[in-house]
Amino acid sequence: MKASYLGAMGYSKRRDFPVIWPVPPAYDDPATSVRSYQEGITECEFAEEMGFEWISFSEHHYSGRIATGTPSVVAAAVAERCKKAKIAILGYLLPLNNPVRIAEELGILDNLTDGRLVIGFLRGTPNEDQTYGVNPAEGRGRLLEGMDLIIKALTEPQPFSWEGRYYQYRTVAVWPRPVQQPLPPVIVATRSDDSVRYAAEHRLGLGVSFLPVEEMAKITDKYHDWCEAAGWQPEPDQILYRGSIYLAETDKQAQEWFENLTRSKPAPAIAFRPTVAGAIDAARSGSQFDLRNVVAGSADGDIVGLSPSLSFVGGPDTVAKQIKAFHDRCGAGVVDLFFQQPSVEHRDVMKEIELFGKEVLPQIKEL
Amino acid sequence: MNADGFSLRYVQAGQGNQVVILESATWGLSKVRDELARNYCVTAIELPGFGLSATNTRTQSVQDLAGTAAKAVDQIVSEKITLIGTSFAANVAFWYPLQAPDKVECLILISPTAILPNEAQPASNRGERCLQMLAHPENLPDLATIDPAIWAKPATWAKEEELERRLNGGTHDVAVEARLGEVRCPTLVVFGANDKIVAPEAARVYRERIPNSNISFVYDSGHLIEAERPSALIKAIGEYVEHRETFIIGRENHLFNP
Repeated sequence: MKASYLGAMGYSKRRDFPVIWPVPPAYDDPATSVRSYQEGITECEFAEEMGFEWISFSEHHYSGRIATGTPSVVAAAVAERCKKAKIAILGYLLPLNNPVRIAEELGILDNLTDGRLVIGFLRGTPNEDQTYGVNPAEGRGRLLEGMDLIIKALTEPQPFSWEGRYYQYRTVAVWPRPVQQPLPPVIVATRSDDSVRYAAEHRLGLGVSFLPVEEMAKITDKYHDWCEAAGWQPEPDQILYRGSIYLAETDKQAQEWFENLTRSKPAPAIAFRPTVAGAIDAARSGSQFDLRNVVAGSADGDIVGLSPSLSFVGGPDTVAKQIKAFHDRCGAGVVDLFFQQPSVEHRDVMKEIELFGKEVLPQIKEL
Repeated sequence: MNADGFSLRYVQAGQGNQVVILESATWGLSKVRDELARNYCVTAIELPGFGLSATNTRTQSVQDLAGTAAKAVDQIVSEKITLIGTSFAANVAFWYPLQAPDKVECLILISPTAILPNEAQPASNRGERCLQMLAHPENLPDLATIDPAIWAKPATWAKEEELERRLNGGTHDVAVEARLGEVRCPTLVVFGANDKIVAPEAARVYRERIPNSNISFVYDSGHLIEAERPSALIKAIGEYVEHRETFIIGRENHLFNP
């Protein structure tokens, strides 16, 4: 089993970072931001040194918690420092983006990394539907068409036109072609049946994030069934689980940290409009949203990431056992780990990476 | 009309520049011709041996069939034409500008089956063949209602399939591949992105060898694009008829608040 380090590049002042979304740019201190990216890149380098075989990036917007709105940019910077690890974009929020632009970035990244790129696609969380003004109701369709278009753009050797439902391009000719032919590894990060089926039918990998092991198993069971129906079985590297982690020297220390976290008050909330969150959910599901049912002027925020739900907490043996469960039950061959928890500063993240490399990786590597 | 010894059916509608559509197994899928007739003079000719025409045992090659079509067109259209063909009829249309280069000023091949990098195993019966032609077989009930006159007559299908088989339809045509470079007119080749009859590698062969050509993929469609994504197909070929190779230039206005 392989370990992947999620290069979140989170804003360094994590203890009191707002948990609402979007975080106003006014909150950002440029000097802290610069330091945050430097520390984030250092963490990636150290993770590679400690045996992590993948470094991953994920597109998220308008917040410093995961400050990689343009993951290709950050991946390119890290790829210059990490020369062995796979560079995995897990992933792009396809409904928000121009698929041809994404294909171009992927082509360049696979060249810059000399064939170390792993591609990931996902729809994104509901709040992020606001980012570029895409209609939430179109998200699923845009994701499915975007994947088709990007794969075509990366594999078609002649210029072509694309007459889509959501996208129309009369000249697509991505340059450069990927180093990995015919296509770099692709992972579809999803929980929904249509995308899981898409991954199976197109012989692509599957990524699942933050679910308990039995919930993930329901998805991977379907995936395996649909892969078999399509006449193939995924390799271990094609099933990835992404989870949050807090690793301490002992279970007791980890438990104490976790209890402190749950007792701590969230950072100052900034008034936000719950109407927006409700309207997005309604738009995604195709249902009506009645604005009049929401109390005007509510100060409740759209709280993102407040719940301290961690996938892996404990000392090395416990965490190894927790990770192993995803391998044994779901067939996961790669575990992608988010270390930058609230209240965990850079120095402590580095300690966790070291501990993981020395105490956990040896226990899962041979799985 | 009578042409080259055959009795042929044709329909003509609209005014403007001349567009000729050769019809074979897709006779009855009228959306494209009806839409083009809004802006052009459209002539759709049923190739001998297809649709409601008599069984054709005389034609010996696809080239012969193109010659018959050219003779028919010459009787009713004196101007230069934009020529359109779908599937097997696209294979016929391919030969037309080679035989009459001054007549055809623009060529549109929809799902042509002459270049088959990986030859599909032909379906053994009509039902399976229908499934092969669609990205979404769940659309089949709708497709069957498009032209019941033809669709419901197994004898029509058998007649067409026998003729296509005799003229080597469904097999890779090395003669076409060898002469792609001789097509001098602007050419658009359109495929469904999920075509199960023709492998996607075919499109690039046309693009590589026909000097002034474009290839276009219609998302979420199989071989029978007109049935599955008619509006997308009509938009693409309509703009190609109008602008030819310059159809790649964006002309839609995205100014929200002028």
